Amino acid sequence: MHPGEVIVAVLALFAVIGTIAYALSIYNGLVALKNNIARSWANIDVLLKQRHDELPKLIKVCEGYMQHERAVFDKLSEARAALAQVKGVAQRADAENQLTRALGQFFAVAESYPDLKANQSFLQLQGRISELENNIADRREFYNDTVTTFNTRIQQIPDMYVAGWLQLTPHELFKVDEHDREDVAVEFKMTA
Amino acid sequence: MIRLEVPFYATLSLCAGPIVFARGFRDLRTRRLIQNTPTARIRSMAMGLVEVSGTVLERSVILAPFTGHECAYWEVDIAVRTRRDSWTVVHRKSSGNPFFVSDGTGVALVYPQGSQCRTPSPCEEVCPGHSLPECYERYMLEQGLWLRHAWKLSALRFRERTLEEGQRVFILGSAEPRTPAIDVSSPVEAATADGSVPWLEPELAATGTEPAPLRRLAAGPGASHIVPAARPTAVLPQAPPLPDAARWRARAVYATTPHVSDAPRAGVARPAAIPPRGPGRVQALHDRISAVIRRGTNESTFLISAESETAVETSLELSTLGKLFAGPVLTALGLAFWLYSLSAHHLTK
Repeated sequence: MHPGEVIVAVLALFAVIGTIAYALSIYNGLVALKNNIARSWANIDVLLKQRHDELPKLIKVCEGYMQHERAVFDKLSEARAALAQVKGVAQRADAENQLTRALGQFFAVAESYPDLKANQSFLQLQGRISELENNIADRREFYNDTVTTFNTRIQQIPDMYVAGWLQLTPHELFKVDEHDREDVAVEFKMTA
Repeated sequence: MIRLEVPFYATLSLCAGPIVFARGFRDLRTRRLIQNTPTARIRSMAMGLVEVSGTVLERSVILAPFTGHECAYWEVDIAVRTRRDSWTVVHRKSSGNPFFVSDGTGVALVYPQGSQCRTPSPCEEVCPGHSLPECYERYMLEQGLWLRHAWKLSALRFRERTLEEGQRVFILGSAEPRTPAIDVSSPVEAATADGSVPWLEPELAATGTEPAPLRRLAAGPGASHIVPAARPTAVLPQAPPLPDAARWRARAVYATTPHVSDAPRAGVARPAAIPPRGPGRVQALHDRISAVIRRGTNESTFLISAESETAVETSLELSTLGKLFAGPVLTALGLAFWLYSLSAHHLTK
């Protein structure tokens, strides 16, 4: 065999190995991204579970003070129960938003009970739930970032060919509730 | 001379080619990892591989060995000039001291041991080997670099990279839950004659912190508080009892309930106030640690960069392309030399 032919064969071998390794890196990257989405979704669930567990404690602390606010308690319990039955990103997002709204209303009503506001257990629970809400919001953002990266990758060349072969489809983003997008009417009543 | 050098370099390029090619794929993988990992907020980051961006906060004040600057972490290397006017790194060392990183939402403790540290502008100086400035001479003596006399025959390059208080960094590493910590006050009194604290050294080794800074702190007049994190679950039971509980005032601090954040509920991060430098700051920051970031056991990628994420990605992309091209070319050149040499030898026979 002529030396020139050997060199060309070696270079061709590098090209083949390079192409296979590159395709494998795309494949592995997409699989990792897909699993990252599942992981970030599960990480939201961890916090939701924690918030879910805090609610009975909150109700227990407050029911003695807010005996005339049955409607607020019912709304909170319904939202909590609804959350346990949902499946899928969109449904989960809806149920989550309902619970967040119900909690917001609950804390707004609690404001008018000075004795409750002075209760240490209530303050601790409010702080804890507040913290969990912040963390849930952060993790939703993180989930959306991961999904966006995945959706972008599977539509880009050359990743789209591997994605097509793997039959990967775009994932759904965690969207905010329509109710939360409405403008908040703020009125200032200025006295002359 | 040339007859000996050419086959040597041909063999070298033949062997190095596939390695360079493989390293190109390693850089590609790191770049992909950076691209695929969204930046997390420290207060809510999940355990496992994370990417965070924040500001460096010193845990222990250390001095960079060459410049003497106060910093949170340093990395130095010494290189000697070769005959072809290139540099060969002959010594590399880093401080390994853990530091805090804060992104306004929370604080994480970083154990830089085993990281790939990238800082944009290292402090660099080239000196003739026969007349080295005192700081370099002293450093080589302290490190016990017994080859230093041979290195001094040529020019030496001293390079120092530091991460300083307030510097913005981008970190890709593995987050682990905050481990229980040991809070030791006034280690001066229990230090041995050479200034070291024997039973504390395994704890420090676990954090990547060397005993040397402790010795310096212990010996110094202002040394009153050092808080090394450790893995006491495994190590503490084996530690000997404290020599004098009253004098030591040592206590184990176990991870408490998470810090209740006062950030707004809308998920918008409000910068949490970082205590100013001074007594009690380390403890205050320690109390706010959400997690520890270090080199993972499953995922070994650990990058600390003072460059932006985009700059790191660009540099990795260029490096990938260069290595994927250079690998086959080097192999082809080495192979060409040997094949043509062998065929010429065969023809002459």
